Amino acid sequence: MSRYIARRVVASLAIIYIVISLSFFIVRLMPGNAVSALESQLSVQGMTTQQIDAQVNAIYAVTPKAPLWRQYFTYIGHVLEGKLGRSIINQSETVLHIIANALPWTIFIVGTSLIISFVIGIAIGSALAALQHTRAAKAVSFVVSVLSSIPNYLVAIVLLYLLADIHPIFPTGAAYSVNVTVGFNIAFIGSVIVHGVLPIAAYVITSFGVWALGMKGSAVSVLGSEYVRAAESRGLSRRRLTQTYVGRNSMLPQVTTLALSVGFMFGGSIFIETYFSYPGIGYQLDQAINSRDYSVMMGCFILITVAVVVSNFLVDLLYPLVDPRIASPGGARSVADRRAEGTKAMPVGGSTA
Amino acid sequence: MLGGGLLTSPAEAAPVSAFNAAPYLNMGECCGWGSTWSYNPFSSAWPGQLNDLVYLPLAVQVPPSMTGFVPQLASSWQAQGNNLVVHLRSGLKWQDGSAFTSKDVLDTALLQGTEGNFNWSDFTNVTAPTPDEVVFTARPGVPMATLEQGVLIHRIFPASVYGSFVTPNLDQEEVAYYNEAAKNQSAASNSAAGKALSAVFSKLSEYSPKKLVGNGPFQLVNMTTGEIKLTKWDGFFDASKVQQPGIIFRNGSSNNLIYPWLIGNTTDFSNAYLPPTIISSLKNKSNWHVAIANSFEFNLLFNNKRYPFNLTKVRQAIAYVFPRATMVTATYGTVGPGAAVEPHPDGLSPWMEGSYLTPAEIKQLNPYNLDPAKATALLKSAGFHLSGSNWIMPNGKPFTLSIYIQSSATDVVQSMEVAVNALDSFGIQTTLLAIPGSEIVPDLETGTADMSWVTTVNLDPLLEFADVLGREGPNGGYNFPVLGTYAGDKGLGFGPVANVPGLGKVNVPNTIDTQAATVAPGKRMDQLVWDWARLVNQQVPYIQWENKLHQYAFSTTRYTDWPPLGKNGQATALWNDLSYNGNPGLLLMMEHGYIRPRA
Repeated sequence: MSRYIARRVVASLAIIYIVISLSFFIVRLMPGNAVSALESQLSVQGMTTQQIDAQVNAIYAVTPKAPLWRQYFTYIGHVLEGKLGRSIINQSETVLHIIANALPWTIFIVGTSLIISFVIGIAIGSALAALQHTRAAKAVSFVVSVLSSIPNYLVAIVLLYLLADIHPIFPTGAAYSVNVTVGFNIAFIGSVIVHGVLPIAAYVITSFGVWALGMKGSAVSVLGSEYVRAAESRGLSRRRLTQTYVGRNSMLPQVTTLALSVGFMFGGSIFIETYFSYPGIGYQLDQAINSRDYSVMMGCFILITVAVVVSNFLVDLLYPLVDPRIASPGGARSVADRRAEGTKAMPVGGSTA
Repeated sequence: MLGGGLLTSPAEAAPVSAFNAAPYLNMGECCGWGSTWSYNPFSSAWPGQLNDLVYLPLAVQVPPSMTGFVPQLASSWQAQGNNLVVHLRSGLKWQDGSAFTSKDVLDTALLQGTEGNFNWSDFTNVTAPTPDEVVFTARPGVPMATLEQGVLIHRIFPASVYGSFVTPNLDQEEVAYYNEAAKNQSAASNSAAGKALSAVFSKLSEYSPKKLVGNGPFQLVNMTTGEIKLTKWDGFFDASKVQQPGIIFRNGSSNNLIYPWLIGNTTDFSNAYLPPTIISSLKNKSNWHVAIANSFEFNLLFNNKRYPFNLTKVRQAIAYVFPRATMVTATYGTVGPGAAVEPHPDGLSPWMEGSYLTPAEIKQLNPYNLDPAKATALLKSAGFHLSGSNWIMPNGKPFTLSIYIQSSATDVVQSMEVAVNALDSFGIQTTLLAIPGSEIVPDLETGTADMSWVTTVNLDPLLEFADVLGREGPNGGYNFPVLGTYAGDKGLGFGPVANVPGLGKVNVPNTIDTQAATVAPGKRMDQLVWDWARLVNQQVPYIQWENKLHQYAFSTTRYTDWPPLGKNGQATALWNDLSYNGNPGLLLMMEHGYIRPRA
């Protein structure tokens, strides 16, 4: 087991290093630069050339000019020291501070959305599997399929138009109102919740269906397996059958996917956060890409990479606990051998009781 | 400052007073602001929406005159020999209660000089002999009018906040650096003074003030990724004229976000581009009005070094195929009698033509009216021929054209689609690439595109030419740059030596840059404007096809007494000030007592 963990740790670190290195060069190979991005943005705003130059000069003075290879080694050195540098666009902020400020917002809306869509999706998926041959289940399956195939930004636009613009029930953007004081007070918390409703709704509406369809497929497959039929023939109660045999086994792949989704959650949702001007990681990344703010881009990429690699790593660690054959392929062979010899094999996540 | 981070301490966010009974003016702000910002005005992340409403300039320039100003922090100024003496308004205070003095102006000039601003190329020294007087010494050859323009429009920042960044020898280093830069820019950058300036700016740009201490009509209350809230400051010297209890700017990062605010009546004002469909929709609502003001110029720059665009006849032929009037209609609808159409592609806006050229001179300019027959004759005389419906170049290859424009400029995209159709129909296979703003200038400078889009906006007609034909110039051109990121690239690639009518064979970028920096309004300027206008009109290194119209939609539901409009919604003086200046124009409207909440 310890060798297994060591292998995974080394692989994870190697992946992080490779991704950081590739990202470093790829973002700098992108056409364009931060100076041009700012100049163009200000010119569209209608500023005079002199006004534009005043702001562009400020950014030009801080744009890195050293050769790329030197920038790379300096950057890697700084990353190893835990320094991600300063934003090119906003020199008064460190990248770490930007990420530390954005991350809670992303965790709030994407995390909440993930939990809600997971719970709703699993419940609906289970019901669809249990009632798979009914008309209602077919109709719901159709609706769920349609919703899961609609891009989330489209739902975001519709929600914004209907519930923020035409019927101004919810705010059009941001994480809280300019009329509240940031802090642990009811006005602020209420404002945060109200501002989170539409982004969360847009995410949930378009993602619960994926969970539901995944759960349905998994449950239907488990329902058809031999050990379920064997348990049925032994006269086990329906509740025990659905909860212990079908539920747990069909949930396993969903939980694995959920664990991986938690990793991806740290990247935020670029489209939803951008449409709602929601100051999470996705919005920061979108703005950094548009303005060619290499430092912030790299910071976001590192965060996302580390989060995904760590969540993968945790899943890798959890798997052997569930199925020891993964950590020890030799052990797996002996299980197979024992099965061949007539020893009872236990279904993954199931029970022989 | 970040996009409203949860880690922001309560102390960082300004306390918010109870919601005011009178409505805050709600502004749907085109193009908005990003996910992070800084309350440091020396930072490129400074939110431009706060300009002139929180920090005042010394004076506001009023178009179209190059010499007309409305005093703000400065009460008056006059030339004394080679000096520009600026007298400051007395008794002014900052929002933290400290007095406004000449040290604020001096420190601002010194600190802005570290980032290449405050027009240090126009003066050799700045001093503050008394608390209410600042003296700028003009650089030899720089006219006083140019110095006034360069100095007076600057906003001033409090020495109590930024003065600590001024190092003991900064004034001498600044003088040494800019004296050297006037002769050799790269030597100046590598000099001890250049490095000292760079070190000061580096520290300055990293500074993050927790709150804004301004002196304008408004005080910042709070800012998020969605809104900026400003409240009226009674300490402003003209506070009695300001009618609004406050302003809410809404972040319209895309025009498509703003249109529903207008239709849904959830904003009072917008500066976003309004396509004909939205204009029609607003016309059906009695509470909405639209002011239309001329604004900056849209230019398409040829890659003059690339075959076949190095041929004057080819560039002229394309000018004859450009359906300028139809393009304007597609963008703005029927906004009035051709308000945005450039009468002559000569590098000058319509009002500049009227101001600096005589009627007899204007008559001599070629209007390049849509004329495919003339274009055909020009191409044939250059050795091109038609194969089927497509033009073939003398080297046997199909004649193709790529046009790069900025994707976020939706009005330009709309307009250029019309041009592409016209060029395609004429037989030039044209590709339109709407690319991110971050790529426009690099593609232009490195010569990736055949034609690239840039805007120009100036009151000085020579600067208007220098903005394109110059190297970097006072305001930055695109022709054979020698400094910065694109040093050594060709950019526009026109010349560099060319026969300019009236001037003879001259180095185009060097000459226009020098003239733009040293020629004051007067007969000499008029003559030079005529020379350069003829060059652009005859040799067509770029096509100025449209004068952008700013369309300001304003609602009378909650606010009344907006500045008056002319016939067909055409702008009057104050709307033109807004169109040219942005926030300083808004400041002038407020100082005139306009935009009043309904009782």
